[in-house]
Amino acid sequence: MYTILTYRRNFLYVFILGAIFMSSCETTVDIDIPFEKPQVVLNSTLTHNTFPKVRLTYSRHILDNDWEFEPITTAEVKLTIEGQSYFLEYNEDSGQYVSLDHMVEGGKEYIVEAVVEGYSVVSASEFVPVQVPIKDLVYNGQAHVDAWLTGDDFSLIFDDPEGENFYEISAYYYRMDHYIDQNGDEVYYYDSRTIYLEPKNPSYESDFYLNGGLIIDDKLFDGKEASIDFFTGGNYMEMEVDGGEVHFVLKNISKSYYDFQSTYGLQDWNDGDPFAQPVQVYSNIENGIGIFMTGNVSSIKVETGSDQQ
Amino acid sequence: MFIRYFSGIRDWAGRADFEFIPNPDHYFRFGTNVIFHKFSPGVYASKSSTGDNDLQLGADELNSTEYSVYAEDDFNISNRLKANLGLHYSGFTTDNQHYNSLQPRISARYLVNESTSIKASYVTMAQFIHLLTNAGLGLPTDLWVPATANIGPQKAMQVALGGVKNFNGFEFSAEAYYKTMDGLIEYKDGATYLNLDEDWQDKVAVGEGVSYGIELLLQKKVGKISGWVGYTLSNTERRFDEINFGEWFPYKYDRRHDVSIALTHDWKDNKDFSLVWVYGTGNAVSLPTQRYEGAEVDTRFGGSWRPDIEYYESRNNFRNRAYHRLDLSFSWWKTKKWGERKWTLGIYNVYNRMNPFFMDIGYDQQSNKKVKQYSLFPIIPSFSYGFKF
Repeated sequence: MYTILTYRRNFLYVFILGAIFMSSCETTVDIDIPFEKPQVVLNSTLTHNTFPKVRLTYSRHILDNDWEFEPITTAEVKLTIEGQSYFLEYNEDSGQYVSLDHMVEGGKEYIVEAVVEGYSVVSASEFVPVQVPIKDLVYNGQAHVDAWLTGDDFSLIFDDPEGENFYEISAYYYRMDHYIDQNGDEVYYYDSRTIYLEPKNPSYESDFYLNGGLIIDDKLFDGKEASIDFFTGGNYMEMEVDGGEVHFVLKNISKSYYDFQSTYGLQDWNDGDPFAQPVQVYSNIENGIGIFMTGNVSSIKVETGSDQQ
Repeated sequence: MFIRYFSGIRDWAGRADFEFIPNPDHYFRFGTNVIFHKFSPGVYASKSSTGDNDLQLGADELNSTEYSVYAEDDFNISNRLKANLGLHYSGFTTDNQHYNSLQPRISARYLVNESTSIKASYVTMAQFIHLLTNAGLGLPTDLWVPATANIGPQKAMQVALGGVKNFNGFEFSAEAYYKTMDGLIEYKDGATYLNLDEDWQDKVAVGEGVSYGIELLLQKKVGKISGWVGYTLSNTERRFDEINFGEWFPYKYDRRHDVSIALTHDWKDNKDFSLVWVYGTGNAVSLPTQRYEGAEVDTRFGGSWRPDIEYYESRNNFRNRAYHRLDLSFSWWKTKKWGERKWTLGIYNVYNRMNPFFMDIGYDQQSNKKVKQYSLFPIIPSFSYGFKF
């Protein structure tokens, strides 16, 4: 004979079993990622013959939805060169610490130190490379890059100094023009674009897109004359529009610059690929993260349509 | 049309083992073993619904032959001291490349008294098949790949020291080990399965590893309750010039703590109850923990922008949740005229632990970023019937 107690007990068994099986249908769990406090992020690119600039921000938790990185405005930022130090002032407009009294000089070592309240001194040191002049830029004519596209065939020639060196080669097109508007006023505008460079030597190809340029080391021409052969994405030398310019830039860069661009470029390129292995971006900042990198630029300009004659 | 990624190995194997006991103080064992492998590592296959557009991409199939010859002698040096001296020779032919390896092995056991012994060993090993693990958050798509003309075999050396003590029906053993490994492989940063132009060999770096730890085991072999409790404390790390900026990092399957308990209670003559509980530190995976602003990129036309960078402290910087699970089973049997029949009632994962299978970063319904862990097997009851005659 069933009693109320028996029914209640059976109901309890059924309820417990039901709860277990219902909970077993849920197969996802939210994972917490520990985050004690943000790190200080120091970014600075010192280029010969420019004013030094340093930007300081805080890192954010990976799950933080806020995409803005507010600058740290109250830090004390100091640059030291050959034992001489000077402070950089915070500039509201650029959100960076700058000095308009000093220019960056190639061939010297720079030490940056930032004092941020609540943190150990954030620092890094880096040698600004010397300028490597472009010895020659040879136009080898127009070439078929593939079945449909043609590009200009160039060789950029320079002498690689002794030791380990790294270079960034880039090119961009620039043309200023004007027209008369409906009021009879002259309106000036410019057409500008980055030119994609495709190296002939596959050793110089990257696994990622780097703003159209090339980033290379000197393993293949260490201490000798280097000739970097490449095609441009598009034809510029036989352009029918007058007045355009193509600027080729050879930037002698530090190893940190090379490592940062290589690793950041790869991380960015793989963004969204669920099958890609993770990429750690290079950082050379003590007691923080970010990058302190240096470069020295040489450039050469050619006029578009110059091969039309 | 669908696309699938698969990796497979087919083996055809043969072996012969011999034993020879010339006198009570020597026990020789020797033999040989041959395996023909057919590897299909990392192959994409696409198939259209009409079946007229089938395509296979990725690595080519690879045939390899692995063989080994071994000889060892278990011999008594004295009443208390016993040693094992062995030599293994193994070879591997693949891709017009031949690898071979001679591996000396020695172990010894000393009987301190009737209930206590100590043991030590030195072993060298070679392995011609690599486990290539995925370091990211996604599905655990590990591949077994062979040594090739470009990627050599992995080699290891291990020394161990331990002891065994018997008391009151229990046996307690402890062993400490230290192992070094060379020729290990790991995916390089940024390597992706979606890059069909590259073979898996171009996506890996070769490096070294180290593993050390201590294993404790308490066993009870007699009585109504029998079973064992085991605990291992270990550390396994790897180092590659091209990964993690050349620094050591934890191996994906580094299990700092590993506990296992297996008990059987012979309840009655025809009934028993068993319990298994396992615990292991979670796998090490690479997970970005912070985001930060990158260096300013100049567009050369007066403008600039600052990229967003994901920060990984190191390769395999994050630990999955620990794996643990309790399984229970109850069996009862009855002897019949024709034999014996047995019923078993079991419950797998009794407390419905959500053990990690893989993780993913996504967004919830309120557009908040979340890290989600996915599990495979919840609580599963089972019931079985068996008989023997």
